[in-house]
Amino acid sequence: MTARSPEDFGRAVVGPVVAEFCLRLWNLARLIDEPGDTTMLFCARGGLPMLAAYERFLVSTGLESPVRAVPLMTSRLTATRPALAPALRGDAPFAPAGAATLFYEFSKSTNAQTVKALSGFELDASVPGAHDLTTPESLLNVLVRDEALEARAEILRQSDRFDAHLRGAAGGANHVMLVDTGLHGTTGLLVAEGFPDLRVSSALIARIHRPLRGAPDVPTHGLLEHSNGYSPLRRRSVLLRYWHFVEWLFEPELPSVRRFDDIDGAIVSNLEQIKGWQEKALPAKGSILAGAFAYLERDLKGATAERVLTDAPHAWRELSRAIVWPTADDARVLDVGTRSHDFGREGTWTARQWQGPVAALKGSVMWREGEIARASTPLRLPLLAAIELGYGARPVLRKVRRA
Amino acid sequence: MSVEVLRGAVSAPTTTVLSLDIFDTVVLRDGTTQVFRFVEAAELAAERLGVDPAPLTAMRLLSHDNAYRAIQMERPGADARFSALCEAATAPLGLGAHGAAVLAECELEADIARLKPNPRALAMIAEARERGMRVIAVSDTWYSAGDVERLLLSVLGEQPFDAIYTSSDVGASKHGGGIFDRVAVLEGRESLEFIHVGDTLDADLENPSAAGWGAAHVPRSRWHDLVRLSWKIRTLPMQARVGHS
Repeated sequence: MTARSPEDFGRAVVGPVVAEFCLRLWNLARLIDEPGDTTMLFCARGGLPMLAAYERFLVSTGLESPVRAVPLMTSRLTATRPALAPALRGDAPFAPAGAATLFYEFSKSTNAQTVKALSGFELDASVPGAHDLTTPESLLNVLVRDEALEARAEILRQSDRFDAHLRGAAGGANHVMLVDTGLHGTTGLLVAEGFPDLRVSSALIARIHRPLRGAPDVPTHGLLEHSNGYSPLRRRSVLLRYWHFVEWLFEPELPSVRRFDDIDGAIVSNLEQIKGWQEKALPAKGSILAGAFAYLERDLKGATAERVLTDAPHAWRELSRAIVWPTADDARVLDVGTRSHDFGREGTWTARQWQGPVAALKGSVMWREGEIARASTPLRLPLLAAIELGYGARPVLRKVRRA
Repeated sequence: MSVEVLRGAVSAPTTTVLSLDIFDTVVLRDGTTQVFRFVEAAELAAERLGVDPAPLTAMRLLSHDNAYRAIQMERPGADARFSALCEAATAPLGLGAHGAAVLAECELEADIARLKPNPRALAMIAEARERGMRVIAVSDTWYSAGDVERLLLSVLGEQPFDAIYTSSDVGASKHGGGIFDRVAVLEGRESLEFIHVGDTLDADLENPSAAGWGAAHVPRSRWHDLVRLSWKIRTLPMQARVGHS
């Protein structure tokens, strides 16, 4: 059997899956009752290739987007600032979504590191609390001090600029539907908290519900998968077995949006200041996503949704097999390499090297099935079967535990 | 609820309007699941349009899920619109407005074939009429009042209401609770003038009561629950076949 190229895999397998997402998004947008009052905001970075894919789907099928679709230059970092701004401007504590984001992203960072990530400013080491681990309360205590004046002013300035950018992108619509890869809809929660006058919702590729007490009610839907995790009984949930792949697939070779600058009266993100950013947002030649785009542009040209609905089931079967039961060739094609933690921090995730069957069974932040397949171990099938069995047994074990 | 119990319920001198739920109150469903009826109707529509039934069925089921997602996003407490559902299902398949009209017609036909009159509800209506009460219908459904009227004419041979209010038309629902205040305004009456009767505990008893209406709960029988369960089981392989979870 000849090795399959990433582009071939993208065209045959990922293309129909992406097309199915585009079809579902179109259908959702078609059912919006007041399309003139809604804008779909495709969230950078992943949203930029997603928007490009959606536009190609529309061209090929001859459909028109029922709702205005534009990019939104954002990241969890830029969306967090408006959620924190009211507390920085007054006496109130941080609101729930902003506080929860600080907890999830910075609980292992010092306040000095967190302030640097949020503002870009170094906090003087002598500032009381600068070296304490970040909690919403400790960070706010630091940020309201006179010594943090510059950092606080910068966070508020960036908050105002993001506000202007988002409202400009919304084009006067009162309902903004954030379109993003997933998984928890955090950006939607943050935008809802920072923009209480707007109706905010999120349409994601996949969604896992993460309860957040007190956070604004943001309708958030995973259009391909909406559940609490992988189940062998639901084929589309395979996306959750290797979520890094989905994130990586749509991540263009562009920096994360961290700040906005006022350039001759126009608010411009750091991403948009990269020369040729629009081209860089498109898939690299020979990549899986380039193959998916080939499916959207060529295989789907002049077709209707029937073609997508015919191709997608086979594509899902193949994607599921490649992720759950990968061969060495699948592991090579689906390898995502090293990914950044982002949110203004330097850390990365990287595919782990083979460390033996016990480590593989214990799990990995990336893709342990790929790790097993790459190792060319004779234990490949038993190990993959054991992992799958474990996922199959999870609901039963959960029920036994609750009984 | 029997006519005798209704007599008691409407004995309050202030009660001037009898409001009835439609589905499983005035007309009784045979226990088939919603998905079963969608598939049945889509297959019928595909036959009439001369197209493959699988994509049309898939689009109909997708449109149903997405309609309620869109409502949650944009108009919480409201209901889907039947015409929009049918158009969203047929347009990507290149079937256009004609396809949407055929699908809508087939859904109504499929629904009508699964409904029968409820003599007890019709007796209630007759009793209320004798007492000089106004009789209205308040239903949570994606159908418009016109669709419901067509359906009642087919199943009952008459349209027995002075007015029909559907959640789709009104933009508020019984489940959300908002429809009761709206209907009171549209009827130009105080809430205490209404008594509402229906089969669903929250939508037909708790929520109208919370809105100040009189309310009575008339659940379907245990036997019907068993029939419904058997249909649910029967629908499972169908859901797997059409890829709907």
